[in-house]
Amino acid sequence: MKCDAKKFARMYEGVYKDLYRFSLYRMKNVQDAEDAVSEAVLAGYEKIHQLKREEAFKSWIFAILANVCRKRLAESGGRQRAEEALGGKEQEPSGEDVDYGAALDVRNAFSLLSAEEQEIVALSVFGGYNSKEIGVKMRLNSNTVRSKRSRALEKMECALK
Amino acid sequence: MEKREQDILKKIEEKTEEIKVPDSLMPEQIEKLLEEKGVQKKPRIKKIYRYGSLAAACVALAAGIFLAGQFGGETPEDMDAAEVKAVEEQDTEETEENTDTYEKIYAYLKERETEAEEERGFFDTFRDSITSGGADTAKEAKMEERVAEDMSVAQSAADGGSYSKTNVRQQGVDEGDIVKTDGRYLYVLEDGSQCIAIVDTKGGLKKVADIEADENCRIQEFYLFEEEKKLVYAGTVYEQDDHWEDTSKKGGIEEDVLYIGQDLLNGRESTKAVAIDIKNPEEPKEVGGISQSGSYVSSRAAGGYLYLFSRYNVWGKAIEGNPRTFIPMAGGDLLREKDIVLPPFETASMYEVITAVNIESPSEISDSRAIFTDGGELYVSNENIYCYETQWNSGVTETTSIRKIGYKDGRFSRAVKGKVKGYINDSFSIDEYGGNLRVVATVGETNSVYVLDKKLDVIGSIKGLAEDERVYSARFMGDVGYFVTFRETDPLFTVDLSDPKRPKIIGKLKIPGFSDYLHFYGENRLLGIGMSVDEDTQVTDGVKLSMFDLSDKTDVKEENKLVLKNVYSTDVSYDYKAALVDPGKNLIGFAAGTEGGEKYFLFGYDEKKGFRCHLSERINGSSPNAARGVYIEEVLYVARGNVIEGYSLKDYKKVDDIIL
Repeated sequence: MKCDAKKFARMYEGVYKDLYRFSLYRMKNVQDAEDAVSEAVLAGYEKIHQLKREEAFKSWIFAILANVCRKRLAESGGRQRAEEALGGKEQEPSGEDVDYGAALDVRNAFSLLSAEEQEIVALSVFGGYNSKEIGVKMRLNSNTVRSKRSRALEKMECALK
Repeated sequence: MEKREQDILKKIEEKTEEIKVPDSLMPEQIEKLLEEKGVQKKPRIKKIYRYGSLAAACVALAAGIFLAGQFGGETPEDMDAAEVKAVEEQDTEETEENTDTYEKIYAYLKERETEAEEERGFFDTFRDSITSGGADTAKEAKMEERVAEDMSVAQSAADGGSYSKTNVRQQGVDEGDIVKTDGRYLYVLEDGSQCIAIVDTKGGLKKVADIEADENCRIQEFYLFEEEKKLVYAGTVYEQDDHWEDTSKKGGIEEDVLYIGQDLLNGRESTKAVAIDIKNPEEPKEVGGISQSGSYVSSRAAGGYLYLFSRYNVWGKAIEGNPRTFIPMAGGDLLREKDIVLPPFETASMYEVITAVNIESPSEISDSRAIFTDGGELYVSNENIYCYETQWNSGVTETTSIRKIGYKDGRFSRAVKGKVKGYINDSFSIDEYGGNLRVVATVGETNSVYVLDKKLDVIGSIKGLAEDERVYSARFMGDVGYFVTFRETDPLFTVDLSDPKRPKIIGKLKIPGFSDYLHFYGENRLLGIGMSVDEDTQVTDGVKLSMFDLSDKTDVKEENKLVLKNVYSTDVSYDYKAALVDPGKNLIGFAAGTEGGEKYFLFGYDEKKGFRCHLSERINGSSPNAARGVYIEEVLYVARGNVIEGYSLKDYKKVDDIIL
């Protein structure tokens, strides 16, 4: 697809809220969420010629963002997870003045989930993907996705009351 | 998806609607940013640039584009062509080969990373021309014995029946779980997954000991080997290994944005199995253990051996000439070249590491294998391990590759490979009998039954079943298979497999709702646990139990059913270990989500009166670990996390509880 900055921005406009929300709940703080979306946008812009049809933009850019988030979490999380495993406490998200508003309990609900579950739920809500699509994306069997999602939502349910 | 799940998703959506996006990410800012970038638009990294022109070949792109194909109807034609080709080539190539050198594996991995040419010829299949060898008659006799075993298990309680055992996929192949009992003591994985509590049930619940794992280890599942008087747990160890960070700094994490495999997070994990002597359960003693690369996937136990499966991702870590960076370890040694099997698809980037450990000498690995995989599922029969994984092609029907590794007394035989069209619902849809493998698969919008011989060639099939529906559950016994497909109603199909070359559908029963777990219940009965579905709205409206009468295979009937309104879901739908089904004792138990929170249900069955609910009690424990029900003699114990509650099986009243 031929695409200049203007056209890219127009396609982006249709999805940026979802992208940011996805990123926020994966990365857990504003700064990291912002950085991840920027990185995904730049990577996407560089590769936009590979996209053949505009309708596929959302799933395409989401796939890139999901990878960026995973990569960034792996970078920052590896050490933290090891520390946790060794008995340390989970680091509180640095004192960002996030205006979660009504969404605070969503953040709390997300914190109950494993990284994999967070990704599944975030892809479901913000990406609008079904289990088969998520399965393809995360290389999981779609039944596995369904059962993991079901369990994850069950965990979140109480926190969302 | 269930309505309740949809509701939760909707709630999340609503509650996050108002989140403010930072100014820097507003479309107009992004446009500016891109315009600036556009000026100096030269590739930052050589590798990406190079890949950019090779869309078809690139794995990680495949992740992106694939997705586009699946989601948006985007069809990158080049890639499809390549993939179709790959599938076709698998048909014809019959190379039998394991790897012979680490260099070859390194080369393979590097190729995955650079992926310069798309058809490099690693579509080799690794087929061992397993000679059938041995008298067929003996085999048949054994087979019949096995069916008899299956039948007897279905008819009476397992092994004496004074206490329950983990519900397993295959009789004779044990599986780990989070709660077990030996008939007197309960062994329960506590919250936090670092401790297994040993609780004496005699004279009231009393915790007598704790088995503690190392601080950096999370216990996943455990086994009781009653003859050997051992408990063996399998856990994932989070290693403090800086390797990943080193290579990420050096090897351009920057450039990996589009190439991330599934399991980066698992890169620093290993799996271990630890044996504990429980001759005296009040004084458990660690007596040995082994470890292997990768995070825990699953395990099985048979014939005094534990078979341990882990998944190890080397993505981006391989350093030439340093096999430790890309070859998995088992028991402190690198896997031997000849024990590593190359992948079924061009995209595989992980190892499935399989080891065998003799319970009598739990610090030694008797054999090990590693096969490249993209992440699949497992089915273990009494003689073979089947690893199956589906390749989701865009535009073409998905293909499931099946690899079989024989096992016996802690030794593995070479891998055999085959494939079928479509995807497999779960391990109950794949079943070995008499050396043949029977598979029920959903193929695009229809469903198929396949019979594969011991070389995994398809020798018989039925295609085009139940259009627009997909398989929800299946169960085989001897020459007959039963499976449920669903869209609006639930047809239960009966398939006659007595002539493996000519399987035929002999019965079809249509009822509303669906069963997603099937379990033989005494002679000629099949229990279905699933969901009732409102025929008008197509929304699930409660957990449903069905009892099918199989006495006439050509005319299977739903003898009785029970719909539990206001019960949203059961763990049994996706985890068969959550089911307590004991036809001998006439018990059907499981945990389920209800309006009043999670409850444990216990039913009995009577031909005339149907299902009788003996017990529906709130589960008071709360834990990421699921609930389990086990019984010892006349007491049912329901355990979740750190709470165990006991109920009498005579009057179903609560008799005991303990908080660990």
